[in-house]
Amino acid sequence: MNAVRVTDFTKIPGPRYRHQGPDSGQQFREEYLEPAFLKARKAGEQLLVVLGGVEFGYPVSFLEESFGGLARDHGIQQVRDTLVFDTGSQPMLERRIQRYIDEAEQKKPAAHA
Amino acid sequence: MKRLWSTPEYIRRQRRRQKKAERRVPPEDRGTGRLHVRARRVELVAPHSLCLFEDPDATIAFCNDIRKALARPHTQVRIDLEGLEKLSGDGMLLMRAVMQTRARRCGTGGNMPSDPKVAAQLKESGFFTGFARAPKDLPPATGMMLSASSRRVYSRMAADLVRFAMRNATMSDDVASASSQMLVEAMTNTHAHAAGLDRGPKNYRRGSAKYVWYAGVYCAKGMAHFTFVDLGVGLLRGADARHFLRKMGIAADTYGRATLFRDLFTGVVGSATGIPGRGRGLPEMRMCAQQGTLAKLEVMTSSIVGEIATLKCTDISVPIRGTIYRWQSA
Repeated sequence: MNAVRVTDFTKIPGPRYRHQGPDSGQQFREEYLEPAFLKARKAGEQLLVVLGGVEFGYPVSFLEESFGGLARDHGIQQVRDTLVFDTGSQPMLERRIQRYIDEAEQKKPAAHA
Repeated sequence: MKRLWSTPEYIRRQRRRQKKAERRVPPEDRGTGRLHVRARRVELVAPHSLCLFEDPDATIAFCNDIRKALARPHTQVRIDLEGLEKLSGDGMLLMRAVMQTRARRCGTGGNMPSDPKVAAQLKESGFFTGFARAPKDLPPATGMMLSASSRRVYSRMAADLVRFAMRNATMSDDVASASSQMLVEAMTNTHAHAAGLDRGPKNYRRGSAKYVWYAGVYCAKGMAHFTFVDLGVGLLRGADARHFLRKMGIAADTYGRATLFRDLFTGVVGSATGIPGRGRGLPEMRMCAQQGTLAKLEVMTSSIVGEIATLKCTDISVPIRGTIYRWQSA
């Protein structure tokens, strides 16, 4: 199983969009999560997302844009089937992410390039 | 060929410059032949208590006066703090923020409080960081104040503040994480309101006002007191709230500020923007406040001050432009 570690991207996750500041959820999704997700889908495997190790947890916007954004782009069911989470010492985190994926609407945001 | 001072072209240019200089002269100096711009001097006396949430009216009125004085170019403001008897982290940060938001060629100065305890509190709070002429005998700081442009969200700056608080106060990991995330969300909100993010791509690209946010922590008696100051339009007048009210076809006064405040923190307003995934930040703040990781989280904006956990809010008589969040470590 392939794995994506958030700590490879940043130890302090930031805002939602790339233009808002460094270490954004959009940047993480586009540069790390999405390529690994597509590779895993192609190989018919699951993708392990390692969320532990960040310094002060995850801002809501970062999580929503990363995982909710992925579900908006590739479909809720595909994302649910492919992603597996290792939340380390934060078991509640997985439930939060699953909620963001489930509540993701099937359309892209109108604003923001 | 070298130009002579008496050439018609030079004379015309000189007249144009003179007229321009005359326009800059204050009305009282016109006709006296004085063309230089004299700095306007304003002296403002601080109230006895500079605690934003405990004595909002006097503190806001004083900070509004500083803001107003510094909005006019070429103004020197002297702040008289001698009579100050009570000071809090939020009051200090707000004063610091309004002092920094100034027009060109403005300056600030002032004296120290005569009460030695209050003077010591001011010196160790980090208030004087970045001052050109700070008091010489500054003790080790127990507070930290940071600021940055509203156009960017800096999670690393939020982390710096929280790390500082962890060194100087007792704080659990949950509280530290919640505080860091709270700061990031507050910065994001400032960014969104300032840059017109919620008003569509055209407005966003055009770029509207640029504000500066200020975040600070003040540690005392083993407890960290966080404050975040956004001197922009304020939550109730932000793009989200305006969009929501426009959609409902109701004016803010008719709808009620207290109701709008509750709708913001329950996610009703944010989700009404129509942008998928938006509107989770403020409800998440409320959840942390209810769980106790953001203890005593309060917000002050426009003319109301509210407790986030219970969503109870009260009116204040002197309105403030912007949004101020305050919470503590336990």
